[in-house]
Order: sequence, then C-alpha cells, then structure tokens
Amino acid sequence: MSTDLIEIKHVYKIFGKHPEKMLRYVQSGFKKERLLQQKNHNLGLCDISLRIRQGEIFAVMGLSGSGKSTLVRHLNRLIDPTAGEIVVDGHNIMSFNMEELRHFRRYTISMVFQKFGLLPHKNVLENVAYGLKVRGISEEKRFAQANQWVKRVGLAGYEKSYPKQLSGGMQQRVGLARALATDPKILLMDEPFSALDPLIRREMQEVLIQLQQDLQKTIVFITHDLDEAMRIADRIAILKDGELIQVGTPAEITQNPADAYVTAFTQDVK
Amino acid sequence: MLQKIFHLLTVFSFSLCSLDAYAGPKHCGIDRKINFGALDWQSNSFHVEMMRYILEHGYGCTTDAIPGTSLPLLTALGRGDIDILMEVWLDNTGEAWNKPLEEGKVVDIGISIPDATQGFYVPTYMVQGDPERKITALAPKLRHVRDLPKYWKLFQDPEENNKGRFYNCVLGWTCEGVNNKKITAYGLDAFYTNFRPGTGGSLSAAISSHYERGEPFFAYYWGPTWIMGKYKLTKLEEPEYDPDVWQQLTTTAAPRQATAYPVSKVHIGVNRAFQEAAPEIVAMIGQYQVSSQVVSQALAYITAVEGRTPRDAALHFLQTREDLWSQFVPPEVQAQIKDSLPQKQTKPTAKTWQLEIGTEINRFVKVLVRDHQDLFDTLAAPIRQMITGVEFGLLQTPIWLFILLAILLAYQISRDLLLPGIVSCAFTLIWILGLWEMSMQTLALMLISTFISVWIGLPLGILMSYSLYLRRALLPILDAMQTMPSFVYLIPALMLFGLGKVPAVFATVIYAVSPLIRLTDLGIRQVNPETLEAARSFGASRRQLLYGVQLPLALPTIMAGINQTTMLALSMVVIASMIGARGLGEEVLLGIQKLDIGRGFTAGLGIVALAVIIDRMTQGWGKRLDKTK
Repeated sequence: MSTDLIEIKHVYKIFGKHPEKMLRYVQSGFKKERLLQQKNHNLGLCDISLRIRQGEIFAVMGLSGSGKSTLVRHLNRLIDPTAGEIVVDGHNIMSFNMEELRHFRRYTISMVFQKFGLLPHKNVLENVAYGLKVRGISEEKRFAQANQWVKRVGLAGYEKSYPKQLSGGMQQRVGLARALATDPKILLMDEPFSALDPLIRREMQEVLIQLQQDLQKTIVFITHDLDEAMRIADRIAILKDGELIQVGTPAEITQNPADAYVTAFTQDVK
Repeated sequence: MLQKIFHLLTVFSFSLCSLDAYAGPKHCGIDRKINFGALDWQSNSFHVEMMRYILEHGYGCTTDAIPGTSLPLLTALGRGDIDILMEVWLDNTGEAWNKPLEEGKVVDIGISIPDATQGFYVPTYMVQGDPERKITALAPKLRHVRDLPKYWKLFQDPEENNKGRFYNCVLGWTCEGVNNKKITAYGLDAFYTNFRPGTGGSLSAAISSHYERGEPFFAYYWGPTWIMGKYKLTKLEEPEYDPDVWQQLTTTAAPRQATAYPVSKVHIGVNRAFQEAAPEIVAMIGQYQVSSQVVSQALAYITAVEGRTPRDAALHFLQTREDLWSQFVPPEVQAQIKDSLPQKQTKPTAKTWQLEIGTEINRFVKVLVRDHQDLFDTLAAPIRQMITGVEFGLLQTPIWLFILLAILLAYQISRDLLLPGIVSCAFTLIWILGLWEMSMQTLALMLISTFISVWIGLPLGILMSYSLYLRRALLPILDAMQTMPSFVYLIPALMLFGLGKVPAVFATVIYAVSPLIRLTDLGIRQVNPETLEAARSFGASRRQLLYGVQLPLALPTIMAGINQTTMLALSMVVIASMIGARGLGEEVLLGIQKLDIGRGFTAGLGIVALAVIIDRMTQGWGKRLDKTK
C-alpha cells in the first residue's frame, strides 16, 4: 500500500530580475525560449505537479537545462519556487520559517550531489558524521553512528582519509553514507553517479539497490540516463524545458512514449 | 644647525616663471635676468619674493628663482649660475661657502636675519596663563632650565609614565645631538624622556596640537618659523652663551657643562661678477635686514590661510611694514614700489572654480584636535598599553631563550629543519648586528598592528563576502587606504593621538589591513558552491556554515592575507619612525638624515631579516592549516 509522501502542486520557477512579473507571461503560454529571448528571464520550471509515494524510487529525467536539478532542489528548498506549493509528509514546506526549515533538513530529508559536495577539510568519518554534527549530537555518538555507515558503504579502513585521497566512486560512497547517516525519510540524489566511470556507475547503482532493499527510503533520483532510470526507478518523470512531459513506470514510458522527445530517449534503451 | 627647515604642513609653491620686463624709470643696471637661489624652505622664499618684487617694480629688472638645496646652490653661486642667495647659514655651509669666498668668487654683502634663534620652549600660557582661552598658568615660576626637574609631572610622557617628555629636535639633525648632550649636562635625563620626532613636520604638528588644546609641552624649537610666528612660546633661560663651553659641548662626547645656543646671523651672498655688474642693486640688497620674529610672522601669515604663497606674504609685508622696508629701499625707489602695490589686502591666489575641500578638512581636524581630545585619549590608551606591554615582554626575555622559543615555534609549524634553520640564522644576524632591542620594538609594533588588523579585517572581510552592496562600498575605500600617501593621514593621526607609538600603529593598520579584508572576502567567496549547498542541505545554520565550512576552507587564503599584512606592517616601520615610533625604522631614518649609509643599510638588513622570519613563519603556518592539500 503506497501513500503520497511528497506532493508538488503547480510549481513555477523563473530565474531573473523580476520573476514574479514574468509569471503572467508564462501562464499565458510563453515557453522557455520565448521568455528568454523577449524578457531575458529563464524559465526553470513551468506548472509542475507531481506526487511521489512513500518508499519508491522516483526518477526525474531530462536533458541538461530541462529543470530536473532545479526541481529536486525545491524539495529541500535549496531553491524557492516563484509560485506553487510543496507538501512533504503533510507539511506545506513553503510555510516553514528558517528554524523549521533547518529542522526539516536535519531530520527529514538529505541529499547526494553530482560532484559529491564533500567537505574537503574533513576526513571520511567527519564527513559522514556531518549531518549529525549539525544536529548537535556529541562527537562520540555521531562517530559511532557514522562508523557503521562507513562500513556499510564499503569504506572500512578509509575513515581517516581525506576526500582528495579517494577515487570518485569512493567519494560518492562517502556522499551516500553521509546522506543516510541522518536516517532521513527522503533521499534526494542529484545525478549522483553521472560523474563516475561506466563500470563504477554500475557498481554504485547496485550498492543503492542493495541498500534500498533494506532501508525502503523515499528516493528522488535525478538522471539524464534512461538506462539508469530503468534499472533503479519505480516510476519515472520526464522533463523538457521546465515542463513535465510524462510520468509513469519504466514500462509505461517505453511502451507509450508521450512525444518524440520521450521516444528519442527510449530508443537507446535495450 | 638649522640646515633643514622644511614644513610638511605648509603648502609650498614658487612662481618660477619670470615676470615680464617692467620698464620702470629707475635703471636696473643689468640687462639680463637676475637669478635668485630658491632654497627649499619658506623663510628664504619670503626674502626672495620680496626682493624680486622690489627689483621688478622699483628697478625694472627681470628676475628668476632657481630651486635647489643648500650645497648645490652655493656651488651655483660661485659659478655665477645664480646671482644672489638670501640665506647663507655660516654654521652649516663650511667649505662650500668659505672656499669661493676666499677665492673671491662670492661676496658676503650683509645679514638678512640677525637673530635666528633656537632653544628650549614652553607655551607662554603655562607661565602667564591665558584668560581669553581660560587657561591658568600651571608653572608661573618656570623660567630657567634648572627649574625643569620640579615640573616633570606636567609634561608626563604617555609612553613612559614616570618621566616627562622632552620633544627633541628632529632625529639625525645636528641640533638633536647637541640637545642630547645638553639634557644630560643639565641633569634633565633623569626626569625627562628624550623624544625624537622623525621629521620637522611631525614635531611642528605635535607642538601645534598641544598648543591648540592648551596643554603643557616642553620642546626644542627654532626660528624663524611659522610656529614661532603663530604661537606664543617662552624660551627657557639657559646659562649665557659661552664660546668655550659651547666648544666643549660640541666636541666632547659627554660634557659636564652646557650653555645656551649662540644666536645665528644669516648672511646674504652674491656672485662677485654680479656685484661688479650691478653695484647699485647689490648695495640695496646688502642693506636688507628683517628680524627673526618678523620672518616668523610672515611664515605664519602664509600658513594661516590655505593657498597663500611666500609671494603673498612678501606683498603683505610691503603693504603693512613700510616702516621696515623704507630703511633699506632708497627713497627714490620707494614711491615706485608704493604705487605698484595693490591697494587692497592681497587675496590668496586660490582659483575660485576649484572645489575647496582642503579648508573644510582643516577645520574638521582642528575641531577634532581641540574639542574631542578625551575620545582620542580613551582610544589611544589601550593601544599604547598593549604595545608597551608587548615591547616590555619581548625585551625582558633573554635573547638565547627568545631564539630558542622561536626555533621551537618554527619547528612546530614546519616539522622540518629548514624553517628553524632560517629563523635561527636570521635572529642571530639581528643579534650580532647589534639590532636586537630595536628589532624587538619593531616586532612589537608589527605584532600589535597585525593583531588589530585581524580584529578589523576578518569581520569586515566576512561581512563583505555576504553583502554585494558592502563590497561595492568598501572596495574603493580599500583602494584609497592602500594608495593614499601615508603622510596625509599620519600628521592628523599624530595630532589626534599625540606623537609616538599609537599614531604609528594607527597608520600601519590603515595601510596594512586592506589585503586581509580583500583576501578574507575572496577566500570565503571562493568556497566551492556545491560544498556550501551540501552543508546547507543538511540544515547547517549560518553560524555553522561560517565556522564549520566557510572559514576553515578560506583559512589558507586568510593566512595569505595575514602574511601580506605583516609584510606591509614591516614596510611601514620607517614611516612609523617619522612620527616617533622606536625601532629599526628610527635607525634607518638616522642613517638617511646623517648620510650614514652603512648605518641605514645595517638597520635595513635587520628589517629584511625580520621580514624573512615573519614571512616564512606565517606562510608555513598557512600551509599547515590547509588540510585540503
């Protein structure tokens, strides 16, 4: 039985000097290209509505510039929408004040970044424990907890190493362990494996699938690689120029592509 | 003795272009330009401008003023490149004057100032009081230098509380050496610190600020100067001038007896050939004579209003003191001059379309100096205490222990033997060059300046990295702080804080803090945005971001800023010494002013050695803090 954990309602995001003023142009049908050329504003997201269920891996796909990274950053409000509403676990996160937002980020949601986003001046253990440190948990406790996650992602023995000393794959294991160490309900992953070699990417996808079997997190997974989305996602959303083109299971997407853009994606899938 | 009278506070300008030939009825007697030597001090300019006016308007001559310093102009006089030198100070010119005089190339035709004086002064209001300014006489019975020990408390030195402060003559000038001996011979050294300003400008600024505030001070000074013309100073009596005692005083190292300064006569020299060509003019110039007080008043007239030139003062003199100039200008010429004089008081030659911010700034500084003394005293006290404390600590540490600690610190920083090696060599060099005490004084000044710079620079740099608007506002100010010549704010700083260590720190911080602010800002803005985003995604607060991520990652850059700040602080030590900060800079200055190149170079080496130590240590420290490497 699956319930909706995240609900995105009519979210718009416009980048530029006067985003609010641009809203009516977008709502009256201006597309990304026209808004950029005539109004010098960039349309990031256009009227996105989505529901993401508890415990699923939800992949968001699209080419670069389609707005997928922008979308995922709305879920923990690293980016605020120009208009629209986002409800997570029954709370309208747009109504959060700074204090509530910090609490939400510390306990409910965490994130894995494309270029890892590790703290270069802290070692592996300290990096994994970072989310717990921010919460104010004592060093002893957080290191004990972090230690387990370091082992779980297969980095035992590297606790004292610094990020610079690790390969890309290992660094992303640290990123993953750091995101999981706070035991969040929701895990946001922004193209986490794009920067890795194909073989390592494959390996990391396996690691994620393995972990997910035990953890049953709600994962929002951004990728530009349909192959990857098919392997790991329960459902897939496809974005183009800030607009949502299609949402469905991998099978639905391959069998009934909504338009030529989706078809082009699916053609390469074996 | 008075060879170097220059005023940093006064605007100094010559009109070098010669005026068009003026065909007066009185014949000039020579059909070419008459060249005056334009010595680089204002009393000379005053004589020259007056003489030029008289020659041009009374005799129809054309004239010019050739700029230069004493020795080159004396040589030029001998060769006939210039015709007249209005101030020849026999005490200082030596061979440069005597030789051409003996050879008959130049002629001594008279005395321009008969009573140039120097001596120990206190403000007259200390002795007589000043009802108008509501100043009561603090020392009504102070007459003689022998009274001074009783009064030391009135002149208390803020940097050495158990003594009074004596403002000596400028570091490295002959008078400074003479005063050193006098102070000892009079037994004043037990009661007074011997405070030597680095430039004439800083001495006059110190006197000026004390006077404006109505405070007691005890200083060496000389005339004719604008200070003497503007302020009422009382000369303290000394044992009457005795040539034998004077001889002893100037030639022996530690004389037991001292005597008043001799009164100097300033001579007028002309080229022999010129005298033969224009005897009438030369005879008139030979009659010229003005008292030291009159010249001082003329100089004060120049400084009283911004934009006034020595020419204005000369005109003013001609307009108001006919009683004096009619004594040397022949009667038949007098009418010519009187007719030519502008009727009204001459206005300063400032151009009206220019923005007059100078006057406003002067007024502002004057108000600050006179009315807000308490504020600046409060600001200065903790800084002064810090420096004297650090200096005391550094000087009390035995040298061997100090070097040992420095080596240990160096090892702690570098974990190899190279840095300790460099540090020990450099400190040993300082030691064997005999610069230890001065280096510690300089080090104390640098440490405090850096300390204050960090406290100002770090927060400002952090705020700047947060706010684009603050950044835009601050950047031009930082540019100004780095490019504004330091003397521009040094003099007001010393008028506000008093001569000594505090204005030196103030100026050093202004000069040295910019790179720290810039590099703190840069370091923080350089932090990888994804790293920041990641930290924020875990719910880090602003404070957690700053202390846990931004500052640690910016630290290597900030350390580079601190390194820059220490280096700039060291490069300021010579300038700091000009306003009375002790240390290596003082020694360099002394070397320059006495033309003792070896001495200056030795002290310069000390500064370099200190710079190498501080530079390598801060750089090493920066590398150590950079964990990302």
